Amino acid sequence: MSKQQTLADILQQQGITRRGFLKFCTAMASLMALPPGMAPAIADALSKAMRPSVIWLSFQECTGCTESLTRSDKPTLESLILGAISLDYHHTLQAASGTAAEAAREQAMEQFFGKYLLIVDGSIPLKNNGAYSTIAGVSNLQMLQDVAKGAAAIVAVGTCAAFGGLPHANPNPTGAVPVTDIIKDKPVINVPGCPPIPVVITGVLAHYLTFGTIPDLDERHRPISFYGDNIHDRCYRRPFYDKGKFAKSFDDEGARKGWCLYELGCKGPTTHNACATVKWNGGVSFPIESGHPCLGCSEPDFWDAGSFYKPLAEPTVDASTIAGAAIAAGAAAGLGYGLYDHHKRKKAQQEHKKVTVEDLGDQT
Amino acid sequence: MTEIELLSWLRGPGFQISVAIFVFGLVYRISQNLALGRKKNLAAPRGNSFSAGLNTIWRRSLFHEGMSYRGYFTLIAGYTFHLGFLVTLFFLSQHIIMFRSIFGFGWPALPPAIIDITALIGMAALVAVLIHRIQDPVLRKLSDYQDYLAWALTFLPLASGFMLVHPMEISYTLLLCLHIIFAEVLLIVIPFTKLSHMISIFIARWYNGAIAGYKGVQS
Amino acid sequence: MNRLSEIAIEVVNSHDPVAPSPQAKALLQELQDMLYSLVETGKSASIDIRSLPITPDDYDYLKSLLGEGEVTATINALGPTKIIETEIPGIWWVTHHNTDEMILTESLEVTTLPEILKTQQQDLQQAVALLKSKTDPIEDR
Repeated sequence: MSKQQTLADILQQQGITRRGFLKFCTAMASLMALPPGMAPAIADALSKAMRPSVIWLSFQECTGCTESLTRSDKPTLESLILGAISLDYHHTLQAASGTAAEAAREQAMEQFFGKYLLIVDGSIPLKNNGAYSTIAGVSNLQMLQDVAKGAAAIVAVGTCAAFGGLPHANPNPTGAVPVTDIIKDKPVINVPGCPPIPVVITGVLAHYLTFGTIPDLDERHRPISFYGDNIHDRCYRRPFYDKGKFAKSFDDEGARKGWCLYELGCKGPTTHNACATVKWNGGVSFPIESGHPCLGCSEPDFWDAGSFYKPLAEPTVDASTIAGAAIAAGAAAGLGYGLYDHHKRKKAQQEHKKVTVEDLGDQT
Repeated sequence: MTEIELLSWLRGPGFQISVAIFVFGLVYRISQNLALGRKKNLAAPRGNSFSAGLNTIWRRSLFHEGMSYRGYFTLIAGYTFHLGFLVTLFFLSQHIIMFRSIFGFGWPALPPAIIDITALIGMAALVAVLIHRIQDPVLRKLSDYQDYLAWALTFLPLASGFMLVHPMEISYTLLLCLHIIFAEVLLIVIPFTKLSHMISIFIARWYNGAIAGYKGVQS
Repeated sequence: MNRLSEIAIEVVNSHDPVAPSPQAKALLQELQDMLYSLVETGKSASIDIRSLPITPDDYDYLKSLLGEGEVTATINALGPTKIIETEIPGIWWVTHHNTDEMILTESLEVTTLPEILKTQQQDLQQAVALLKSKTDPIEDR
């Protein structure tokens, strides 16, 4: 398929009518959290958009992000958008392997230098010269630096690529770091989540396809349209939080009535993601709707942020041992001070000399 | 350091450090107070000093006619602030979760709507006493940096906590971090400032009552 | 027991019967504003329902409040799209499904006719050729 085709051409070849295209654009607008009235403008832009080349690098990851994206039923927006890009390298999905696969990557890098989109999932190990993860004998660090050179923009998909994720979890044996720790001179879009919501991944691609630019990002490089709100503020159970109605266990009356899961460790208040509105599995539900607290999987270091089931208000550590020691130390110090004071007073008393008549007489 | 990392630190090592300093400091102040002792009273006791001390601790917490010499403003603002602050501290469900994790037991919470009111009352009373402190020429002369520090350290946890439970444009994580920082700094500072009155007031009252009781006087 | 209503059911999650939440009320207010502007300026507008944090109860409440009016249409393009004019003229409930009948997007459009119902200009350009391709084999006979 020629890469000079526009997206509209490709969809037309697939037998998609203008109505279908408009529908696709309406869905895209919804996907990018744009007002539905934007659909005609999107249709306009997409009619002219060129099919972009995409190189997908998988580093220290579990392929969950790719699964999230590709396992959705057809034909979804995700598959349509995936069909609209030219995925020139993805070592899990592509048919070619070994030398042929790497050759495809190198060819795309050369042909579309400065124009291709680089998607990264997985973190990059730095310890021992990156020996912990290599592809075709090249370390992840080396490959990322090489491919990033000619990339127009980089999308870090998943919490591992965006923030280090599980490989970065304490004690981080491989010295794993996120993409932003290595690439400083290119626009990086973080799409965190373990995995990210598939439509959020494609939403970012859609934005790039439609406007040829990257979406507005927050200070953590996340697209504001998807990560601007925390789960808590968008949660349909929020009214129960405000009324102080909490489920205290997974099987009490509150849990059955669908009350707030804060006391069961919900990380919704500290988690920025679109789960509460976009939802999962084609809009069926999201974890809280299924009765499970949010784990905060799209936040940095979510794995090390205390137990998943500890409420945010609860300390993550036990302080009773240290408090016991502090009581003993405090009592000892206080008594020590008392003894010292007692001793000082006694000494002062002993050294106290009475003034005699002679003492007074000397002064005259 | 990310907000989440900061939060994890505050809920972990930060919490341990502040609790350790708070407990150490308070126990030090108490044991020091007691270890200093008093001069032996050579007079024969005419009453029970221990129970008289306890009685005074209780009676001086109550409102009574003779207190009005200090002016009703200080009196009412003082009581309102302490009530608002303590009810907010001990009866907000999120705080009870924390206490349960420390002590192993909890107690029923008050509805958030009531805590909103107690927190607002607490803050309003604090603002009122601050204005009073600044406007009253004598009080202003008597105040030093510690008085303002103590004021800020009690006001900030209340204000940040209030913002935390109401939808704000500021990041929840950041607000939660600030709220915990303020609370932990307050814990650390209490034993070494006039805020240690949370314990020493009882010791002082007990001594007062005990002395009176020893002499057979009802204080 | 041969009628549905005779089957005993236990309502586990009993809510107060349809009390609209503040979000639902805000949405209705917005619809009203949009209707005003449609009447006065002829400007169409729409609301993406799925982007709002409304509860399933709110959703049912809206559905029953707006009801179904005179027009119901289905478009078959990339899966079915159901277009229903509500009891309130000018407010259309548009639901885009994919071929698995899963909802892609759902919106309330305040307009005289949803854009997607009209024959599209681009499709029209191919219409003559299409008709011709269908009639030519007949004439050849």
